[in-house]
Amino acid sequence: MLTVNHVTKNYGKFTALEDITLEFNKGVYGLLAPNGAGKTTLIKMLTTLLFPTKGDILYNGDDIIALDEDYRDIIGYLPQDFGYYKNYSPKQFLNYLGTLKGIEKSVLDKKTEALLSLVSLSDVANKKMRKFSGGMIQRVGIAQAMLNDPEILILDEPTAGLDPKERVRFRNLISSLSQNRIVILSTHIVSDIETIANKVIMFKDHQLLCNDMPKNICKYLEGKVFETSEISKIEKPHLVLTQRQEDDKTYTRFTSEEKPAGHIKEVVPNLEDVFLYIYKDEE
Amino acid sequence: MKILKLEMKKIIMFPMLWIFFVLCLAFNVLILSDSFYESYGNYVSDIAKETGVTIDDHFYNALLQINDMNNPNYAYLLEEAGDITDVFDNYNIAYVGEAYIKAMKIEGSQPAQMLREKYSLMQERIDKKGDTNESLTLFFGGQTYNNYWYGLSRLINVLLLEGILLSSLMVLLALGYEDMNKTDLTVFSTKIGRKINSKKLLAGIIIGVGGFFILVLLTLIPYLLLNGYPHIWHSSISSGFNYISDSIAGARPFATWQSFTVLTYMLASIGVSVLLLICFMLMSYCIGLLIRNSYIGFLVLIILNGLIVLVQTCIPLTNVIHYVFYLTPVYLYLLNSYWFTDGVSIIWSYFELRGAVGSLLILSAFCLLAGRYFKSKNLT
Repeated sequence: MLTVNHVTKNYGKFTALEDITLEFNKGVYGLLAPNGAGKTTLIKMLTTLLFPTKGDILYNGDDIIALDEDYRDIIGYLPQDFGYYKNYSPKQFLNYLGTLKGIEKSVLDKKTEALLSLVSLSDVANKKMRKFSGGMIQRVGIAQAMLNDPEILILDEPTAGLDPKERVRFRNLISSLSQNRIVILSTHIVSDIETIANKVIMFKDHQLLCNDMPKNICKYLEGKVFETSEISKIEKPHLVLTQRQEDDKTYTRFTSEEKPAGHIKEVVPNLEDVFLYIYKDEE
Repeated sequence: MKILKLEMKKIIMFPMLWIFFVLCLAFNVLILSDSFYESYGNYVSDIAKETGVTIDDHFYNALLQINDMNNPNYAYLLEEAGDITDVFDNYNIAYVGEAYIKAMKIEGSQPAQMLREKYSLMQERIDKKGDTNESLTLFFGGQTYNNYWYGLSRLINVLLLEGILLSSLMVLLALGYEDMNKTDLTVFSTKIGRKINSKKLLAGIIIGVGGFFILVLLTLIPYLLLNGYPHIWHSSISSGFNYISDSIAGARPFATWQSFTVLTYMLASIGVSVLLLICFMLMSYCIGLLIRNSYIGFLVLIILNGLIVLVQTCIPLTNVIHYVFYLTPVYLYLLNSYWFTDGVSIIWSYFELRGAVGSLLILSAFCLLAGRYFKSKNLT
């Protein structure tokens, strides 16, 4: 079990995260918040790249800083803006990172081959990565994160820069890798985690807002989300969420504390509704 | 071991280092092209096969038997060898110290006292050199001395500077490699974590020292093939034909703390050069851990060494601290032509060894501190 215990992180006078307490057990956790909310800060603390200003992070009761390489041995990490050596092939790159992870050569060769196959890069395993697409690089990234078969897989904005097809593929891949481990996935794109996260963690004003199952989070707006094709006629205070086209009409989804009069349909709230509602004041 | 090999491979693959290496070689070739075949040096080298390099009765007898009077080189050698006397017999070196004390206006100060003590120690060495006729060996003479010995000295000076720049850049590039490729977060979150930096330093030292040796070989081998004079290597570096000259104490014998042949002097100098290279690499390591951009780090390294020189000039000559600065790597490089000699105004014997070993120890301590700092640094 991974425990974040009353952790605060300050950068000078700026507080990026304040008094965060979380527990991670096996399953997929989605860190959902807009950019700048502190997701990457938390992830960097979970990977020992940053140190908490206050509080501590424990793995099975031991401080991860004190555990040092014993802790890093059981994590896999795909950073946001994943970098790579342009003159290396995926195979060379995975071999290098696998060596840094302390994996024996005989094991590493097999593991590299299997992972490149899993991420559908076997045919370009020996090609230089210089000309790889963003999607291919992200797949190299997930392969390197999985090299040591980590107990904790941490993915920071893994779908950033991917086209919709690649994003779906990536989601499926993460879902298939989530068995018997903790997967922590940060994103500001709701659809990335809506279907695969067991729990969603949200921050607001640099503090923990919720850590719950998506269906429970959606209950937050139960009875408050509506849809209409005549949004201009709504007089009660409301917040427009999304719009969709159907039969030459524009249907607007919105929230309101009370159901407005008129041609209004109450709809089941989804995670995106909650996200837009909670972060309505943020850019 | 595997990690070390992989880090070494990464360094070797830096295009920037290869460009720099090739530029250094090209520059050395330019210097080489300045040197030319010396008929006199070559003639003496051939003669030495018969006479040996020690100028004694056997030498004179062998030389006279050759009797090659029609050759002007023979006549010149006969004249030079005939004039030679043991320069260390009754030679009192104390005047050099006195000349410097007077020129630096430090009479009555602690450094003046220490300078006198140093020259007093050197006198003991000189007396021994006199007893063993150390100066009575063949060396370069006349025009050969100017063309060849100065050329070689200049080349070694350039090689040392190239080695320092190349190896320092190597360590800085190795440390900055992950930042340049945005792989720092991935690499530092692996099992080895930030300890990878010590592997990078070790890889840098191995490749840096290896690269220096390759540079020296690629430069000196053609030079020595061109101007080979094999006889000279077993002559004493303190030969009566060799001398030091400066504006304060004038020209004087090339007195060293130890008895060196030209070969052992060269080897000892290469040894100190390697220590000096490592010092600069350790300095680069500290800077590289504090400044993640390799090129800015390189600039800081140059500025830092410039500041050391600047600060030293601001400290009064009567203060011992002024002389401590002579033991810093940058001064050891600047004073490389005085290595193993009396070291003129420097107040300690063997300043090059004291400086190199002392700097190595101090910089190693700084590296440990920089490593500790980096270990607890937030990597944003």
